[in-house]
Amino acid sequence: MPDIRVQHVIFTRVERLYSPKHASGYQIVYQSPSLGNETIQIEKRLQCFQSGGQNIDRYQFFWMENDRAVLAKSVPLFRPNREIIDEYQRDAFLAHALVLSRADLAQVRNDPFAIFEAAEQSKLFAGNEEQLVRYLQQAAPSEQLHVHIRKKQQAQSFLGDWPRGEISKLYLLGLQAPTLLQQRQSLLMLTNDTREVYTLLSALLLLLLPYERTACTFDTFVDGCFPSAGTFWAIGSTRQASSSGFLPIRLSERHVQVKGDTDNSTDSKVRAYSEWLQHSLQSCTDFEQVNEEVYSAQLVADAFLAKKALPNEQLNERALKHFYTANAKSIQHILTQILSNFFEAPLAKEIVGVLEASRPRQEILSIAAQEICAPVTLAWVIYYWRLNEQAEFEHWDDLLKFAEQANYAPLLLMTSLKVHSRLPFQQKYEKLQDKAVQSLFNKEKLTPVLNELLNAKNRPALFEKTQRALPTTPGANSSKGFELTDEEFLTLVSAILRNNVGNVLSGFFAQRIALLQNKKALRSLAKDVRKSWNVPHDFVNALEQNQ
Amino acid sequence: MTMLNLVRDFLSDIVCPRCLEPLKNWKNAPQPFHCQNCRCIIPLSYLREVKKTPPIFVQLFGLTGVGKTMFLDMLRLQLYDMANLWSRAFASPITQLDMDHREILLTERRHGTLASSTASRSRDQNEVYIMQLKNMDRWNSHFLVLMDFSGEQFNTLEIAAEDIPFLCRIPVTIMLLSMPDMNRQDKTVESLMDSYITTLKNNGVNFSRTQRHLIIVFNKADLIRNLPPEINDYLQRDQIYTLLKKNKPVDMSGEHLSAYLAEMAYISDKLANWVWNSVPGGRGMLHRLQENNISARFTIMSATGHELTNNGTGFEPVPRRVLDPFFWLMEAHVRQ
Repeated sequence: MPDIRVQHVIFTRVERLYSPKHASGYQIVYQSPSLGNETIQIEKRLQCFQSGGQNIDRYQFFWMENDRAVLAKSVPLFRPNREIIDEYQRDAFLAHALVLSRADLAQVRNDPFAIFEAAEQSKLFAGNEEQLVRYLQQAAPSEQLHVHIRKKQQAQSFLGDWPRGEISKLYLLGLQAPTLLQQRQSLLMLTNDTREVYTLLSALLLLLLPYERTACTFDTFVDGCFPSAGTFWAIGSTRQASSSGFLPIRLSERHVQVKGDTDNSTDSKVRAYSEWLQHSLQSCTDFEQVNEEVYSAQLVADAFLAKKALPNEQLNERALKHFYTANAKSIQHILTQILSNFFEAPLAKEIVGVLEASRPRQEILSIAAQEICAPVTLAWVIYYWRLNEQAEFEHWDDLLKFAEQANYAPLLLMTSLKVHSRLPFQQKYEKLQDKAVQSLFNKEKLTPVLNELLNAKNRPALFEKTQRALPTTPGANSSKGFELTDEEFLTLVSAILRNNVGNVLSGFFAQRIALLQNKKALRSLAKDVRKSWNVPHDFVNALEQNQ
Repeated sequence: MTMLNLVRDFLSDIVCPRCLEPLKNWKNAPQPFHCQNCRCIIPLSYLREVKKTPPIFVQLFGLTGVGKTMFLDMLRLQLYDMANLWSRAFASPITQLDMDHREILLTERRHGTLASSTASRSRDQNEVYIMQLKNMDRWNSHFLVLMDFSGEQFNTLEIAAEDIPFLCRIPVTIMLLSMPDMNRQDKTVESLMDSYITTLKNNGVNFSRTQRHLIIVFNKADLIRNLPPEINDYLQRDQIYTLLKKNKPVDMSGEHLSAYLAEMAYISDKLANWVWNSVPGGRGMLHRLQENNISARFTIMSATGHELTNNGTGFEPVPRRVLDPFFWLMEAHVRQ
């Protein structure tokens, strides 16, 4: 909920007494002292408003040449005060514009309607003669505005009664805003219920990604004051334009005609958000569900755009699922690319499947958004994956290399044991085992890891949290899980003894040593055990009895 | 060079009724056809008939509150009843905008609802009202092209003429003055004249080469205290609106119209004298007109017929001499 800085321009008709230039007529009657002559640009956009005797408010959003955003509300003044506004009491209007920097607008996710709502709630907009006079004579309007970020359209969302296909088209027209403006065209929203234009734009802008919103300038009511086409992206009116360049949308028909290319977005990451929207529109039972998902989906899309991590807050799970499903191919492609930095393609692809199945969707999307995965996270996943898989595996060497790179001791221990037993020159692997054992011991993780390696019952279910199934390798039987061969077990015990942490050799170690058949190896081990001072009795006894 | 030649030269091409730029390739163009310059959609009936029904562009010039909008509304109200002025005459709106506005005139203005104060607009934002006036005696048929502007747009020495396309390009302008307002606001007729002349000069108008014509209208004349009785009487005698409203004929054909115009000319001269003698800054204004070769006609008018006292609503307008500026306009365009 950021506080933003707003400057003010108030434009209305006044009599001489209230005029800064001592002349009756329409004019800027107040502007923040920090604003200069650039307010002429604002005046040009505010100066014409004809409510036609109806109680209609006008809302405008546009940009000044100096890259400042302007959000204005105009209200009609019926039979206004004779002394302040017009001695003949002709109907007039009062326009109040808020001027803010691009950075301040970005703080509220480029959402003009969030600012309109905040300004309305804090009664910031001058709405009548009394408030105008207070601003002119007592206290200038506040230049700080506390804005709530809009996360969803309020209940009774206007778009709810629009056909899904038409919502898609409206969204595309939002994406096309820069093109329309460049081609000097504007959307003309035709309706007799002028409030509808505000509600529709409010809902539509919420559907757009924040950075797409900046081009979506608008004026909700232009009757009698039609601007040139291309001045605003969208305008609202009760009647057809008398100039060309306007693309009419009759709101009562709930139908939109989109000309030309319906997806002019070449940015693949915007497309990812668009894909989510299309998918969500098709999958959700009612629009309220889409509405619930929007904010989360936009945070994901924002993260993809900025190549940054997703925020820590818990996002809407259904939005994440829809975003992921709608973009599964491209996300898997990104993940494979990330893993290709560590593994050959087939293994990388296999690990992508494991990663997707084992980590929460929010984390997976975060990894894909950043296009980077912390090796330690990956090592963790691989370690638990292999713990839950059968031991026969042809890529232990690749995993060992990665474990070294990731410097993740459990995986380093696991993989070095597996590779060690198959190769003639073992010294290098002994060093790696020593490193892993020392590291685990120092972090007081040695016993839990040894338990995991030796006892399937101690292993956490890797996929329990995500409730997703690991893609199965054909012919694989994973029910048994990871196992150490006798030789690998003896190597592990040797490593433990070598590192003087023989005190951990109890429980499963004693049970396992009792089952070994290789008497020669047992005798050799017994020698090492005797040299060690801290091996538990149950292990020593089991070893002696088995010789 | 006569006035007619000027207008004829100007209209040798069909011009956009809003920005006055020539319209190109309109003959076989698909509908709706729009001006290539300002993108205004040109009504088909305008394109079809403009050669036979030349347009008359109405440019008003006056400060805020002087009554420009009220004048245009009351003029239109009377012209819609012009079948009662001439035997074969009638007036029609030619666009939906005009049709809608006619409804407003009939339901609101006629019953005394005051128009809003007019907001400023850029050129392309302003709407053009076009009435087709058919079969008038003396002046035949014309499109009457109207654009309204806010008084604020005339309140500086150098007016933004790009937003007021008729001002520099049409040689006839109706200047509205309200002496009661000017006196109260310490303004003089000279300063308004200076704005007009300076703006035209700054926009390339050469007064010695092209004569300009001003129809100077003293609006709210019923509130001017020092009018000569003769002129005051002329104002009060006008019953045209009242008769037309009752659907009674007002004979403006042939000799009647000539007599009416002769009286208008007489009143114009009387008013010039009054300006010289009794209007603050009046001599300065007349000197400026002479210096810049501007021909001027003077007239009086009360677009509402009485002071607005009832909070802007429910006053029954009884406009007086609202047709006079229009008649001078027609004379300037057609007869000279």
